[in-house]
Parts: sequence; structure tokens; C-alpha cells
Amino acid sequence: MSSVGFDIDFDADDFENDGFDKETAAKYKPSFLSEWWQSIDKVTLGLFFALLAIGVIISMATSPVAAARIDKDEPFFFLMRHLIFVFMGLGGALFLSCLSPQNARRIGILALIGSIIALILVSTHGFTVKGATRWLRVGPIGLQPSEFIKPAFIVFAAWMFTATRRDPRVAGKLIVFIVYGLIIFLLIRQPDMGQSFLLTVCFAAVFFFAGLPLGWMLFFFAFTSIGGLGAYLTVPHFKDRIQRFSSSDSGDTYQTDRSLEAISNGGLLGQGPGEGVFLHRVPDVNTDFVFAAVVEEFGFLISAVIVLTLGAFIYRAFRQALRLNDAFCQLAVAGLAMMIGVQMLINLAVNLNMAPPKGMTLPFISNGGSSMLALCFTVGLILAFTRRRPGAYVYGV
Amino acid sequence: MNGAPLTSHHKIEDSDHKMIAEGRIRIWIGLAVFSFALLLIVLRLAEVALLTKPPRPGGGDDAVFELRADIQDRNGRLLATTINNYALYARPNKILNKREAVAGLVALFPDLNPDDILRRISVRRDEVRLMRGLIPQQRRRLLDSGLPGVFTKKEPMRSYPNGAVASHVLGFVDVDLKPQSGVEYSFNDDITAKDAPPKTVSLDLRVQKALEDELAQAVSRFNADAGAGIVLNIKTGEVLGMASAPEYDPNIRATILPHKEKNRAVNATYDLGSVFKPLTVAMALDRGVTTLDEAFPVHKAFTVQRKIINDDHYSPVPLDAAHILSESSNRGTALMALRGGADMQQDFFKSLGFFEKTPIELRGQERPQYHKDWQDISVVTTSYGHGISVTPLHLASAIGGILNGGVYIAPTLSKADSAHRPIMRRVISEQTSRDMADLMRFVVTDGTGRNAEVPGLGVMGKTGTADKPAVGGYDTRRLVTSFVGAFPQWDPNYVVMITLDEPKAVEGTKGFATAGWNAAPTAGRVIARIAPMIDLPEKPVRAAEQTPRQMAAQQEALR
Repeated sequence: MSSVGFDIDFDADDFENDGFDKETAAKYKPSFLSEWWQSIDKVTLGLFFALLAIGVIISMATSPVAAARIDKDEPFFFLMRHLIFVFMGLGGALFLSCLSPQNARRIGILALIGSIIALILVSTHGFTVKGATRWLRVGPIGLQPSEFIKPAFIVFAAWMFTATRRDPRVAGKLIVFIVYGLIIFLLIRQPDMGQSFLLTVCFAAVFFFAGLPLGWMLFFFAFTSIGGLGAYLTVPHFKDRIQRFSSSDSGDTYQTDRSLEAISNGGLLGQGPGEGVFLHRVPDVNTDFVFAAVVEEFGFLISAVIVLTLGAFIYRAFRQALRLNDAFCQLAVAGLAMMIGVQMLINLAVNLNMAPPKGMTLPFISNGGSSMLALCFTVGLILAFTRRRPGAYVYGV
Repeated sequence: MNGAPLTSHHKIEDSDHKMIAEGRIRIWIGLAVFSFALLLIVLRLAEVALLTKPPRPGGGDDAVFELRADIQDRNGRLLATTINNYALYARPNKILNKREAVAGLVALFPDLNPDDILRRISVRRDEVRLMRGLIPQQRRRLLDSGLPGVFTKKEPMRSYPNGAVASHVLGFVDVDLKPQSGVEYSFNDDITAKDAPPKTVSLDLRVQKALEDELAQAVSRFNADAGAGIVLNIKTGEVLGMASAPEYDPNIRATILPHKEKNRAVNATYDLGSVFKPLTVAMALDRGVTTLDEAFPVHKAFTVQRKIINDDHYSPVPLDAAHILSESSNRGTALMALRGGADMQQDFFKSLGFFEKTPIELRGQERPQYHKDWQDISVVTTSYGHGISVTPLHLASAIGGILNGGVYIAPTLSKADSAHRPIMRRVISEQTSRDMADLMRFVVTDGTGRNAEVPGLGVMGKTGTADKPAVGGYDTRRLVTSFVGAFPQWDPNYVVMITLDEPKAVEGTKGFATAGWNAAPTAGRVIARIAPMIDLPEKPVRAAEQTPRQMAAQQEALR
């Protein structure tokens, strides 16, 4: 780590005290853009751009297949949609990256409140796709509040845990648990087991990173186990999926079977773009099972590179979290990185038949408006929390 | 830090610092867990992508239409199968330069008509089909050409790898694989059942090919309009071969024309003529109307209901049963039939299935035609095969019943097995059946069937030359000639039936166009070719060949 951090955070007052006149100070005060450019973590930003570009290229390959499936005349219908969301998300992420950590945190809390309200509205005003009521119509697009609630809740939990650490009078843990319980209740009602699971894992990670005692961890583990068992016994769709997965010979394993066929047909170098055969039979080829299509057409090498690019993005966020000096930023960045990482692992595991189908997208690559916007929101928060400023980083870690 | 009041900025810094230091260790652990999980995923990806054999493309979900099982002959040789190929489509609104597209397509597929293609891609439709039946290599070339606005759809196609061979029996399917005729139609349920095994039919591809070959040569050599041929296993009712000329290739739709598609073995009826005589003789012998020794006064003029009955081969002496057959005497069988009466004859014909369609599993069979009012003249003419029209298969099955020990067995295209029991009914006694075998052997050794003889096989048979029915009677210049042969005499097992429609007198037939000169030698050639291919009953030690000579001696005594 270089010591650039100190060089960039100019303040007009500093110059005045050091005997410069205001005019000179104003002359040397860096522009907003250059200040942003100097403070932003360019590795994270570069990887973010790379992932979005990869996603667009993959969408070019999968969009015609998905369009043909629903008899769309326009083969690049899904690519166009994807591009719109990429640009919207990119704008949002860049806007968030300009904020100070405090303001970014405030946006995160607002997003939490907003998405909880939206989640409640979904149960009354939402619309249903493939048996699950998860979407809320906002203008021409359908938004999925459960996608936005994950990063928002992580920021909130990180804030609460740090606040409790600083001032034990704040009943942070209790508040977090109540909010967590409320969200899980709303998610299970939809029903959305995949997001509930992911949120729980992320919460546990933040919990763990926050250094909470082992007793709490055990309590949390028991709580989720009972919750999971309860869901298994009461939600038929959930039970069905688990049973299908655990008994490979019986039942309908259509989705993962098609996915494995496509992946196995990929080989080392793939069939080439547009040459895939099995991806035409893969369900949700542009969303949940996009990875199977990627492997069939682009092969093991390129898909491994994509996986490692995603891994590098997450690794970079973790590295930044390790170096940060602010407890809240550290916790939030680690939690958000963990969220993207777990989502990616689950999606890949489902594609490779290592986990039951969950309805989880491959971050940055899959089509899906809410998912893309929520991920860009997450990246924006990470960029804001990891901005360089005096004393933000420690060296040698 | 627990419970410590927050008094100074430094304490917050300290507690933060402690928290951060502890958090770092835990984040490291989290990162390690994540990295480990990621490693597992990449390893699993390598396993599936690199080490798992991809499934064979095609089949399964690709089926657009219901799939059809293969059809194979009795020895498992392929007769019909379903293959995947491609149909060529165009999206007219995606083709910017129509002339260029037409030029590109015609360069790839010279069979296409440029004007027709231009017309078709000029219509305002989402997609139009231009061509069917592209093989994968052709599709490859199309895709490589990069022509815009054209694409292919996979579709199954029925293929008959032997071309025209057995086409009349197999039938064919339309472009949507819907069966139109033959085995494809009759056994459609078996063929389209889920995971159906190949459908085995009774045909023997080798026998079938030999039969078609000889029939086609005969039709061509004798300049006949058409012909039919049957090889029947008379112990089981299985049809080993069934041919009709002219023939068509079910793979080439343009050859499927009505006169070619007609299966003359079952879909056409003829007045078959003298090949009926063995039936009349068998009935008379079996029902006790006559004996082998009785001689009939065929040399005397004979009139029934003011109609004169003549013999083609006039005999100056009375003839016994053996010579009535070998000389093909109309008067002889007429006298036998009249003595038995109309009821006996009708009952006998009914038992041989002559009043209804044959039970074979083929559609479009022609119903036999016969006199509604069965007077004496009907008794007389039907005794030698006139005034009753049946299909060649009717006659072949009936002769089979006469020779196989006296049991009529329904002809079938199903391979005989324990599950498949044919319809059987006794029509004559075993003794009569043995006598008939001797009498029909005599026809070949000493009678009109000499040209059908194949040394060593004990060929039996009967010729039949019939005038074609015409308005108000018969047209004596237009003939239908038949030979119904059977072998071997010591244990009759197979019937070979040949029918030629309007054969002509040609070089080498001494000006005759009768059955003995065309149908009989054709049947003989078929027998000579197929006998080595099929199982023959073992020849008994006793010399059965002597019987015809005894008959000849017996007849000599009458002269």
C-alpha cells in the first residue's frame, strides 16, 4: 500500500493554516472528479467493469436462446434489457462511490427501510412468476425487493454491531435480531427460501466478523436450524426441492440434468458461441443457469477465468476490509463481499448439481433487473466504504 | 471495555482498535472458508466439463413428432428406420437482398427452383419452409455459407434403406410420419408405442429380393402390364415374400403413383382360372364325390345351361383326377363340382376364405367378387376359376391349406412365435392332402407345369390361364396367367404364387402366352433361388418320386 492516502485529502483549511492564501488554495483544490479518481479503489472498479462487460458478452450468447424459448421475434430482447439495467446499475454504483462512508451508510439504512416496506407491499400488490410472489411493479419494470434487502441489511447489521461495541447501552444485537426475524418472516411468506438462506448466511458471516461471542453463534445456529426444519415441514415447494435433490434417482431433476449435460458438452474449449446444443434445453438459460450455457459455448478455460474474476473481485474486497481502520467499514465491506461470494457459490453449486435449485443469479453475469441493480448497489457501497481518506487504511496487513 | 463509560476519544479508538484487530482474524478465516469453497467449485467444474462424457445429441427431448420404431425382417435385417434430418426455412423479413439469397441457396442446393424460391421468400410471413430432408452435411454447408435469414429445424424422417424392396408390404408414411399404408399403417400402434422395440415382420429380405427380382424380370420379358408374387410358409401362414410390379421407392415421394403403389397380391382381384382346379379336385376327393381311380368322360361334348364347356387341351379319352389336373381339363373339374353340388362348393370355398378379405394385416384389400345367384353354371365355371375373382393371396393360402396336411392357416405378416397363434381350420383330411401333393407333383413332372421344375426339390404346382373379364363376357386376347407352386413334395412347406397381368407371346414361348410358358418358369426360378435360403423339411428315405410314374401307367391302361 502506498501512502497516497494522505496526499489526496486536501482541505482548504489546511492550506490557510500553513500560510497559503485562499486564492492559491482554491487553485490547488483538486476537482471533484480528480478527487474521486484519486480516492476510489481502482482495482475493485476495474474488476467491476470487467465483470459487467463479461455479463454483456454472455448475454449476447444466451439472449437469442432465451428469446426463442418464449417465441420472441427479437433475438436480442434480453440483451437489450440487460444493457439497460447494466447502465442504470453502473450509474447508481458510480453515484454511491462518490459518497462518504457515513452518507453511504445512511443510504443503506434508507434502502433497508424502503425494501422492508416494499416487501410488505409485495404480499398485497406483488405479482407472481413461476409460483412465487416476489415482484413489485415499478413503472415498466418489475422489482424484487428481496434482492435489495440483503446489502441493506448487512450495512444495517454492521452499523448496529459497531455501535454496540462502542456504546454498550445501544441494544444493537436485539434490534438486529428483530429486523432479521421480520425480514425472514416476510421472505418465507413469498416463499423465497433461497434469499432467506443467503440472508441468513450473510448475517451469520457479519455476526462472526463482528467478533460476537461463541454463545451467540450457537444460539443463532440453533435458531436457523429450527427455522429451516420448520420451513421444510410447512412449505411444500421447499420440501419438494430438497427431496428431489437428496434422492437423485426419483423425482424430477430436469433442470440440473440439462445443466450438467450442457456443462459436460463444453469440454476444455467449448462448442463456440452460438454452437451450443444442450443449452437450448437448459431452463432459465439467461438467468439462474447461465453458467451452464457459458461452459457449453466457451469451455472450461474461459468459464474458469470468469469464476476466478468474480473470485478476484471478492478477494479484493476482503483485502480492503482487512486493511480498513474503521470497524464499521471493515465489517460492512467484509459482509457485502461475503454476500456476493456466497451468492456466486450457491449459483455455481446449483449449476453443478451440488445444491438444490435455489433461484439465485450468478452475480453480474445473469440477466435479471433487480439482481443487477442490487449488485451494483452493493458494489457502490463497497466502493464508498473503501475510499481512501486520511487514516482510513493500515499498512502491512 | 465492557460497561466502561465513554469519556474520552482515546477509549473509543482503543475499543475500535481491539475490535478491528479481532475482526481481521475472523475475516481471514471467512476468506479462507470462501477460498476453499471456491476451489471445490472449480474442481467440480473441471470434473463435469472435462471428465464427464457429454450425452449423445438427438433423441429424447428433440423429438418433434412421435417417433417410429424400426421395422426389421424375420432375421433382424433393417427394413425401415427413422433418422434425423433438417428442414430448410427462411424468414422473409430478415432477407434484405432476395436475389442474393436465391443465388446463394441455389448454389448450395441445385435442386431448388430459383423462381419458386424467390416467390416463396417474397411472401409476408414470419417464416416459410423451402425444403425438407437436408442431411447434416448439407445443413453444415448452409450454416457455413452464413446466408442471412435462413435457418434449419430438426425433424425426423422415415427411411427405407432397401429402397423399393418390400415397399408394397412396408407401405410408407407421409412427411409428418403419419402412416399411409402397409405394415406402417397396420402395426402403427406397435411402431409408435413408447420405447417400442423394432417391429419384426415375417418377411425374409433375401426371399423378398429374389421374388421381386424374378417378378420384375418376368413382367419385363413377357411384356406384361403388371404382376404379383407371393412366397408363403404354409405350415405357419407367414408371408416370407410378397411382391407387386410395377414397384415404387418409398424414399422418393414422386415414385408413389397409384398404379405403382397398388399391391397386386392383395389389393387386386383376378379371375385366376385353372389354378382353382386343385381345389375342386381336393373337395371332390375329400367329400367322397370321386376317387383317384375314377375316369371322367371329358372327351364328350358338354353343355350347361346352354353354354358349351370346352377344354384347351382336348383329350380323346376319359381322364382320371391326376390327368384332369395335368391336362387342365375344364370339363373334368366341372363334372366333379356338379356332382358335389352348389352347397358343397360354396361351403368349401367359404372354408378357404374366398368370400371375404384375407385376414392379412394390410389395408386396402380388394373384396372377392362372385355370383350372387350360385346356379349350375356358377358351379361349373368356378370349379376352374372363372366367375369368381379373388386376390392371389387368397389362392396361395387356399392351396397352402390343401397341401400342408389339410389345414387352412390365415396368412400373416407377423413373425410366428408362441404369442402369435394363427387362425387355423381343417378343410380336408390329411390323406387327401397327401394325395393332392402327389397329383400336383404330377402336373409339374408330366403336365402343363413342366417349366416350373427344379430338380431335387419335388416341385408341385398348377398353371392357370384366364381370359380377362370384359363387357358381356371374356376378352380372349387379354390374359391373366398364374402359377401356384409348392415344394417340397415329401413334406409341402412353401407355396410360391406368380400372377402376370396380360403377358404377351414373346420369342421363346412358341407363340403362346399361357401360364405354362411365363408364370410357371418364373415360379420355378423363384423356387430355385430361394430354396437354399430357407429351411427345408428333411427328405424321407422312401422314394416318393415313383407315384407320378404309377399314375402315368394307370392312365395308359385307359387308352
